[in-house]
Amino acid sequence: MVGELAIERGIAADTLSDAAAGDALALARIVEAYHDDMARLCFVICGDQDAAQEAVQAAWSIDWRKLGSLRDPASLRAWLMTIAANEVRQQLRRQKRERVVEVEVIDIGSERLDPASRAGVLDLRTALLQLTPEDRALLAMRHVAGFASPEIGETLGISADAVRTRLSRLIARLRSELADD
Amino acid sequence: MTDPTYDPVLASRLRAYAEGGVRTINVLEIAEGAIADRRARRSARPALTLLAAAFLVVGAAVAALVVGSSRVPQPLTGSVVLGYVDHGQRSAWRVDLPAGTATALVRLRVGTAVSPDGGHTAWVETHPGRSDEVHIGDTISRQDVVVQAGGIVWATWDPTTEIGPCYGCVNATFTWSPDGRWVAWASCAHPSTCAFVVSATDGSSRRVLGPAFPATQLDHQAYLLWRPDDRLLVHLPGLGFQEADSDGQHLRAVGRLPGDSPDGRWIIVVDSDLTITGLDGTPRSRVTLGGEQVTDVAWAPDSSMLAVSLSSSDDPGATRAGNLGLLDLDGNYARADLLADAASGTATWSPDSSRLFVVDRPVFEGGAIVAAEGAIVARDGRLIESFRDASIGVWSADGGHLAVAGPASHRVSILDADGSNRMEIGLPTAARVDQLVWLR
Repeated sequence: MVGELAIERGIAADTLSDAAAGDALALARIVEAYHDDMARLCFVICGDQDAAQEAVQAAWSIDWRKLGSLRDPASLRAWLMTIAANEVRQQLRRQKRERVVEVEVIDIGSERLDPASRAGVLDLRTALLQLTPEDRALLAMRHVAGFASPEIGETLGISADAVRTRLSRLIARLRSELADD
Repeated sequence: MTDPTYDPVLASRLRAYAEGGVRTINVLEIAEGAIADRRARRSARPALTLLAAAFLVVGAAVAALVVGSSRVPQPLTGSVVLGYVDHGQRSAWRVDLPAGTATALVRLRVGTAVSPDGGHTAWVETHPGRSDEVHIGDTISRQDVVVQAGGIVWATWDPTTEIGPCYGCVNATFTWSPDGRWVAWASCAHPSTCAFVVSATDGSSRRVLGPAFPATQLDHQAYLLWRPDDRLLVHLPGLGFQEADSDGQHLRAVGRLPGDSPDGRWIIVVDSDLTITGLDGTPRSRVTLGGEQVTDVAWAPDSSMLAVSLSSSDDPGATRAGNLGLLDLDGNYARADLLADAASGTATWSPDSSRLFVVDRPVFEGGAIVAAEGAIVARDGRLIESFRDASIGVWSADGGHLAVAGPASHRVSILDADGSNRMEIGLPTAARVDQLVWLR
């Protein structure tokens, strides 16, 4: 696991069992601990805040139903993030309309980032949206969620070696595309 | 040894970028929604779309301010469509009743608008170097048709900041016919060369109206509106009022301007008195204003009565004491029993003209309502019900229910027409809802 994202939030076992039994307050404690991480992961995959939040909310419905079957409470975070990543990828596949990527957003009256920061964010966003959802999921799970290659492989249904190979290529590609920043 | 699968610089940038997916949430609502959603899926038929976010129906408990009623509650069915400003653009959702299931219709699109019947949304897709496209979406099937805009779609200015075009402002980009069959926009090949375009909402017809005008005239000397009788009235610089068929065909000089009332028979004249006159100027009904200023008017749908928002101050910028007057065609006048200590807002009549929703005590910041109370008032001025956090209210087509949204609560409340049996539904957005329509 990488950096500060490796911090587990210490959800007690009885909180998990209470949540699985339908205790909304117990589930809310889990939501509070992990919702934002799941949203960050989904946002990198889909590029849209509303879609990311929608996927995470749908994931919570799935999470609650399956919570009782979670065998290793220590793997709760990885388990939740996996469900969220799968949900947002399924959501992208189900979309019937192609999303138009607005690189320049007309944003009258609201606060703006300084031009340099804004350009950097837009460059990264543009580069990410040129990738497939699976590639964005690879990058997000490694660099945002902090998963190791075997965990990523389990989620995406590919081998750990394939994960490493694809990640290496993706990193090289993004370094090249973002090199002018 | 360097890990080829991890780039710390890229990781830092991705994490910063990922913050774009985070927003303020209500964890308990999400938890309760997840539990309710799974339980509903086990029993509901047909299966809900996975794209719909399930939101908790907070409860059918009557709010403390709502007086209880022994009336048998009317069955609640149907849907409401809501719109809001979203990062300078607009988004729209459909909320199905009574479950409160929400479906995203349009997210972060330029100028998104909802038709008066709730059946369609419209928004603009921009393409660098070429003409805009107008998308008209069906709020049930979520399929949309694409209509060539004929140029750059131009919105009116933000009325509070006078900065524009304001694609995030409500009703600034599209104008609809009351039945939702037609939609119009201003399309500009150049800011000095704009024209109105009228399209059928099923995409079957598209027509460009009359001579061009500069974008600076939009909403000043260039505007259009559909009358209740389906006539299309167009005002153009240098030409004044023209009229056309509802589809924009046969643009012609208007023979006689209809009156202000929905049936076109009555005109409002405001000076020291408020007078309702016939089209020939003959007074029908009058009330002396006594120094109060008329800030807004709303005709009952049957044209039998006029609701008038009144202010005691002649300073348009002042927070002022306000009230509501009700004048009928027979000269009967009533004052609404509101506890207003700020300017009253627009009144919205029920379809049967028996009562109206009014925004009482709105508090404005930056031109937007940030706090308000709502009230249901009878034709005789009697207060039927009042409730907190209600800045926008719409009646169902049968008049049996009122949907209200407030600036602060992130909920839509559904009430019976007498103010009883209030149900609150959590919204899929923390944004302030500024457009709310019942789906007919």
